[in-house]
Parts: sequence; C-alpha cells; structure tokens
Amino acid sequence: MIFTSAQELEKILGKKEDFLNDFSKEINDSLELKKSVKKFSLIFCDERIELQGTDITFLGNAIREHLKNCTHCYIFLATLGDKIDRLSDKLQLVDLSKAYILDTAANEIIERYCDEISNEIEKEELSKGNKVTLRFSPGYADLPLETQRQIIKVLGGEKMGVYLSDTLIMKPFKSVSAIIGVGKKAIKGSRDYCAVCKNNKSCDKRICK
Amino acid sequence: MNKKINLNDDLILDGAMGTLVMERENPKAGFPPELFNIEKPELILNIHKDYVKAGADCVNTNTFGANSYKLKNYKEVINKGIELALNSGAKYVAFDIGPSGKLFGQDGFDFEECYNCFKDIILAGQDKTDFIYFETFTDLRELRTAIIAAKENSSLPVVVSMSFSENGRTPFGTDADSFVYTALSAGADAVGANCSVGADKMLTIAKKLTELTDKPVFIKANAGMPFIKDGKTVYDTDSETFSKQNAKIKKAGVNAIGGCCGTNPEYIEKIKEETKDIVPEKRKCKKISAVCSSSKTVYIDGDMKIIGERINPTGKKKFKEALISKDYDYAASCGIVQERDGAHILDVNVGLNGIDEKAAMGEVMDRLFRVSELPLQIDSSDEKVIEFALRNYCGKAIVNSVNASDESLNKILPLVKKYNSAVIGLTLDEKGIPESAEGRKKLAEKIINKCQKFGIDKNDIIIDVLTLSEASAKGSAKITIDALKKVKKLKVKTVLGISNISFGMPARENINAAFLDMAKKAGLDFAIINPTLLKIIPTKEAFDFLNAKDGAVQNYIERFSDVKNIAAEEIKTDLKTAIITGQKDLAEKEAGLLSKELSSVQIVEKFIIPALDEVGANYEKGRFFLPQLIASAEAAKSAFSAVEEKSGTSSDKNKRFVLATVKGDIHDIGKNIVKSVTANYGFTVIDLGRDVDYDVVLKAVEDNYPCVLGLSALMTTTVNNMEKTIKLVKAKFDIPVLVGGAVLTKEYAEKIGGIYCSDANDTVKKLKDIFK
Repeated sequence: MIFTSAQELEKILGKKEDFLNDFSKEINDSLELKKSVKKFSLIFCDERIELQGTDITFLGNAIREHLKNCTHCYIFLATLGDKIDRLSDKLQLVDLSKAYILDTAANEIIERYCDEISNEIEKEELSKGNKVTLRFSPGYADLPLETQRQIIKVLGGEKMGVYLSDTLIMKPFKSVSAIIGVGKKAIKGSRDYCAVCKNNKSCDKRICK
Repeated sequence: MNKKINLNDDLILDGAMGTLVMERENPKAGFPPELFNIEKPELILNIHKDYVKAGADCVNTNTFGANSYKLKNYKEVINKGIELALNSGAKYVAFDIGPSGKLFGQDGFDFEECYNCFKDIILAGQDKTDFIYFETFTDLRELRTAIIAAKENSSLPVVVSMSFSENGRTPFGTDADSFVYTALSAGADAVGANCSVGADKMLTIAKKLTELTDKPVFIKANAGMPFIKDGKTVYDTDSETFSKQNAKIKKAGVNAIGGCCGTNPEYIEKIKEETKDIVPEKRKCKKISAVCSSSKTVYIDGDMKIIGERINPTGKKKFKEALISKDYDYAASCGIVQERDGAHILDVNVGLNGIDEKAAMGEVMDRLFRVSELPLQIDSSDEKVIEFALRNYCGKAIVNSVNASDESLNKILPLVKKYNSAVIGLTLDEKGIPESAEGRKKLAEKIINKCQKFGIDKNDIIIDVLTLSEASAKGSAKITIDALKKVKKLKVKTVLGISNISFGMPARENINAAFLDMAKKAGLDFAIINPTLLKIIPTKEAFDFLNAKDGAVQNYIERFSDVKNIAAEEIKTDLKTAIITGQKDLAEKEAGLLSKELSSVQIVEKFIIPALDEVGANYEKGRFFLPQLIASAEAAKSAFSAVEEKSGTSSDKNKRFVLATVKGDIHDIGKNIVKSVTANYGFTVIDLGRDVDYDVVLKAVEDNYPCVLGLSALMTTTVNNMEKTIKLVKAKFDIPVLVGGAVLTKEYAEKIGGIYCSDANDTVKKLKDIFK
C-alpha cells in the first residue's frame, strides 16, 4: 500500500485528531505517481562506469563498490507529481502544522513507491536467475549529484513533469532517481561506502565523518 | 509550399520523428535527434519523404528540441530542419517547436526570459513554413508565452497542442477547458493534443476539444503505451488498430490527424486509407461566457459567481504593512482562505501609494498561481499595471475596470481586446454616477457599443450598475436593482460590489447579505464580496431597510446597534488553552474579544507568551511533537493577527531577525516553521524567501542592522552557498548568524561561522539569549 492513512498521519502528529481522515484523503487524491524505468548494460572503465548506449557515466568509488559483480543496471525516476507540491505551498501559507505532516507523509510515500518499483525489478530479475543490489542515488558518497542531469534526460523527465534546477534540485520535490545493479553475483547488502568514498578525508557534512 | 494552408481542411499529418530516428539509427539514449539535420540530413529527409509517400499532407520539421537551452547551434539546426522538410515534397510544412526544457515560474524562468527563448526560435524560422506547431507542451504558462511570442514575431498561423495524461490533465494540472480558453485568448489559431496516451484514450480528449471550440483541432496520438521488450522500447498498438481508433477521432469532428511516439509511415498510410471517406461530425459548441486560470474554468452560466474581494489593501492596516514590507505571502493566503470559503474568482488589488504596484502585482499573481486554482480579476486604476498583469497572467482574466468616460474606454479596451480578457464596465463617467436606473443603463449601452467597436465579444462584457449607501440616500438599493434588471436585457453579464450598501449602518453583514439576496434574485451574474458573507442569513429588518419601508431605519438601528453583545456570548474558553491545543480559529476569536478590553501588550504578555512557553516546554520534554508545536505557533499567529488588525504590528521593532533559505536552495518548509515560531515571540522577522542571492541578504542585513541573520539549507550542494553567504556578511557586519537544515551538524555550523540551531524551538532560545 503506497498511499497514506489517518493512522500514519496520527503517528506523525503525535495524537489522534478528527481532521486526519479527510486530510489523508486529500493527500492521496493529490498524488500523481509517475515513473520511468530503463535497463542498460554496464561497461567498467578505469575511472568510471558507462551505461551502454547512453552518455551516462558513474564516477566515484562508492558506486563501483555498489555495482561490484554486476553486468547491468536499472535506472529509474519516480515522482509524486506537482499537485502535492502545490498542496504543500498552500498549506505552508495557511496551516504550517498540516504542511509539516504532509511533508513527512510524502517522504514516506515516495519511499514506498520506490520500494514497489525496486521489488518489481527484483522479481523480474530473480525469475531470470539474477540478483539485484539495493537502491543507490546520485549524491550518495562520492557519486556526483551532477549524474542526475543525464539520468533525467535519458528517462524522459520532462514528459513526466520532472525538472532539475541549476543547483540540481528536482522539481517536484518528492521525486527520486535511483540506480539498481543486476548480475548473477550482485551483492544486495549495504556496505561501508565511507571506507571507499573519495571524500572520506574532507567530508565533514555527513555521517561518515 | 504550394498554397496557403487552410487549417480547417481535412489534413493527414505525419507520424513520429524521435522514435523513428531511434529505430533507424539507434543513437545513444538522450542524443538529440535534431542534430541529425546536420550530421545525417539524408536520414531526416528520407523520413519526411516516407511520410509524404505514405500520404501525409503535412510534415513537421525536425526541430522539436531546437532551442537555446538544449542546443548551442539551435539556429543552424532550425534552418537545416526547415530546408529538409521543404525539400520533402510535402504539400505543407509545419515548424515544429517543443517545450524549452526549463521550468517556468519562481524556481525557473520568468515571462520575459521564456518569451525571448521562443522569440529567438521563431525568428530563426523566418516564416518559411506554412504554420507554427507548438506540441507536447505540459506547462500552460510556457505554452501561452510561446503563443504570444509567435503572434508578435511572425505572421504564420499558430497550432498548439498539449499532452494530457489519462486523468485528462497535464502533469502541471491543466485541463482541456482551461487549455482551450487560455490558448485561444492568447491568439492560437487551432488547438490539439498529442503524445502521452494512445489513440483509444485520446478519443476522449479529442471529443472534449471539439465540444469546446469551433476552431480546427489537431490530434497526434502515440501508438499505444510503451513497454520494454528485449531491452528496447516498443509500443503496444499496431497500425491496423491505430487507424481504426483514429477513424473514431476524425468522426468526432477532428480535422487533422497523424501520429506521435511509436508511429511510422505504415501507421500514416493506414490512417489515410481508413479515414478517407469519413466526414467529421459537425461541431455543436455553443458560444459561451467563461473565464479561467491554468487549471480551472468558471462558466458564467446563470448561477451567480462569487468574486472574492479580500486581496485589497483599502482599509486594512495589516495588508498595507504586508505590501510595504514585501510580504506577498500574506496576499496569497487571503486568496487561499477565500477559495476555501467559496469564492469562484479572486479580485487582486495591490494599489498602495509608495509601492511598486506592477512588481507587487507580479509577485502576488505568481504566488496565487501556486496556491489557488481560481481565475483572477485584475483590479487596478493604472493601465500599465493592467497591461503587465494581462500579459503575464496564464488564463483568461477579468479586468476591473473601465468606466463610461472616453478616456477610460480608449485607454483600457485595446488591452482587453489584445489579451481577450473579460472586462467590467462601471456605469459612471466624467459627470459622476447617474442617479436614475435609466441613466445608468444609458452609460452601460455606451460601454457596450465601444467594446463592440474594439471587437470585444458581448460574452466578455460585465456591467456594474454600482451600489451606493442606502443610509446616505434612501432608495439607493431599489435604483441599483432596477438598473440591474434593465442592463440584463442588453444581453451582457452583470456584477455588483455589495458592501457599499451598508455603509454607515451597524451589523453591516446582515444588510449586505440581504442585498446580495435581492441582487441574486434579480439575476446578478457576479457578486464582489468577502465570501464569508455567504454564511450569513439576513433578517427581515435588513430587507425592510433596503426596501425603504417607513420606519425601517429606526427599527434596524434599535435592533442591531449593540452587536458586540451578540458576538460576546459565543465564546467562553480562554486564549491560552486555545493556543496550547492549537485551535487557530478559536484563538483568533478569543484574541479579538480580548482586544476590546485589553491592550495588545497585555494580551501578548498575559496570554500568548505564557501559552507558547508551556508548549515549548512540553515539546522539549517530548510530550508534544513538532506538528503540535507548529499548530500552537499558528494559533498564536492568528491571535496576533486579530490583535494587529486593530492596533497594527505588535512585534518589537528593535529585535530584528532576517531569515532566508540560501541561494540555490528552494526547500523552505523548515525556514517557514522557524519564521512562524519566532515571530510569535515578538521578534520582527524579515523573511527574504528562498533561493536568496548573496547581495539580497547583504542588503537586508544592512537595512536592518543591527540584527540577527538566520540561514537555512537542505542540500549538501547548497550548504556551500550558506558558507559563502556567511563569509560575505561577516566581512562587513559583526552579527550573529543562526543556521539550520537537514545536512548541518553543530561542528560544521561552527566551522563556517554560524550558530547551530537544531529546530525552531532551539532558534527561539538562541534568539532570546542574543536579544537579552
């Protein structure tokens, strides 16, 4: 179940309130889920990994670690749509508390949507005897956020209504791009990306410090 | 090009370019197919020729993405693309233009930038084709701007086509109705839909378009829905099925059909064959009267429509203060509340001495676009402001207003015609307001005649016969209602501002509600009111007063002069509880009542601050969650505004807190929470908004020095901009800088010279310490 519920909103608010029933409905009615999923062969080069038939290249050690033993990868783009952003803009002006509840709920919803997409991919690949990795996104460890540009272009972001600002922020806000590796011996578990990350000496903004 | 095109003719259009290039050439995913105009011209020429051979009357140039944002050499690509299409032997050539790829609005480009982007494209095309074809647009604001750019820089006809999802709306929320009325009022010559869905689902959209307009309709559907087969994208509908579906589309009244993604010359050949004997059904669309925003159309269908009057500084201290301090969110929130209370249209008036009205109009319109679906009524006495607003407004607006003087008519009506908006005509002229109903009707006739001379459709004329105070001149209400009935017979629409009627009387809303009822029964089309008036049921005394019955004035005043007592009996809970439990409306009412007895300082010190302190303490102890803290802050804010409505702002002008989300960052919910919570503690919060440039922050600090600066950033990429902002500020001013945001840590905040705040409550504590 991707949608939110009064019970979920209750947990965010910290107490039961009558308006949560209508509010969960309003949130669900504002969802315009859209996705784009594509699969490519991987070409491992010295400094980077290329996606065959595209201009997409992955830089950094972390993604290399993540895609170890993989032969292919999926890239996908998922969004909750512009209507949720508008609802948020509106609530921020007239009911900030609801705006906060919405923001938190929307984060949960987009995660569940990504889980659903990931599960579909895993099911498909398992049936072919392959394994898959967890999701990995541009901006994690030393995979540059700039990777977004090419990914969104190749996945047709514009047609889905997903745009990138000059500072690489996706609009609508509740949008996610992600990479899932595929291979007979792909490793699903999480690992210590910080240990291999190129920025691990200079990084003081992140948990890996 | 062998003859001038008639867009009303039955036309077979071509099929896909992009997906066909993929199929034939298999370039890298994401490679712009337009570049093949130069790299492999024979590939493109052959595709055009194949479509012509298949029976297409018209081919689209391979220039969809040729613009300054996507291709450096877009002009060369356009020239070459047009040349190839002209050489294909097609009867007609359409200059194909897609969206820019840049987001329109607050976080992307503005009207002028967007206009120039399309102007450059259109000028590069040099009018060598038969018409311009804007297609696959999803953002109506961008499309409308493109239409205006085309109309002002080319003499070619303009066909416009949007992509609608299965729910009948584009990803930006535009429906077919708003698309058609907006596009046609901006000057489009034909409308259409393409891409996104297959021809089966496209039939619904096509039918809708043919019902909305008698202009030509162009449809290009996808070959069904895409799916991945052996690693390649394929479409699920074959040419046979596709052509049968298109036959239905043509039958529904569509005169121009072709294909979009996934189609190829075989599809076009089949369509041609399948539809050759089909005669499109005759259109049955009625002449209608409607106004719209980019996502909502309001039909003027006989049921009275409410125009919300609250976005207007006249007589509102807080609104004026908000405009002067450039707090445009305040105006936008007035729009949201009126929409909730039942308004159909929002009047926007930001005229105030000493402010840049044009800039304020732009800012307020921009915000309303995000937070309200309602169409707007542009209310200004400055024709430059009206022109600016009409040019920028995405939709079909109402202009408020012209009067019957030649000067006013000659100045404003050309603008109304150019942007095909509706217009309110006031029945007054140089000599003032005619006393009689007949006199007002005569002025209405003058306005209508003049409008028609300018080519303005009668459906777009709205006459206001004017409401005057009944208390000042007995019988005014009757004259207005009489005049209204007379003007109705002229077959134009009617509007009245309601509240003037009760000027000088107690319990004004009661009289207003009674007058509204009378006007509605007389057939009023629009009422300009505060929508909360709709909740009020008028009393008999009010009707008697308006009907000028003997002794009615006295009766009314006796019954209603002590209205304070009526309101007071409703509420008994106290303000502190209302704030702690986060009850906004109750807090506002309570504070309003208290302000009749106590000074604003007393209310703040005795009720609001103790309540907030208790909430803060509960939050720290983990008894309250963040949304509860915010709800209490919002309730306190309502209490403040009730107090301030009477006494002006109650915050301490010496405790200034300048707040901004840093350059490049557009996440601002965190900053807004901080703003809401800190403002309640009496600090004067100057909110600079989001994505704020370094020099804007510097300027604000300079203007408000000494002050505290608060900065928020959510992304790792924009934390660097936070650091830069702090450096620039600290180089000139020795002030504390509070910082916060998801990716910040205490250590990092200190490293870049900031004071770390973990949340809004923490920010209040730090501010209290600083201002001690």
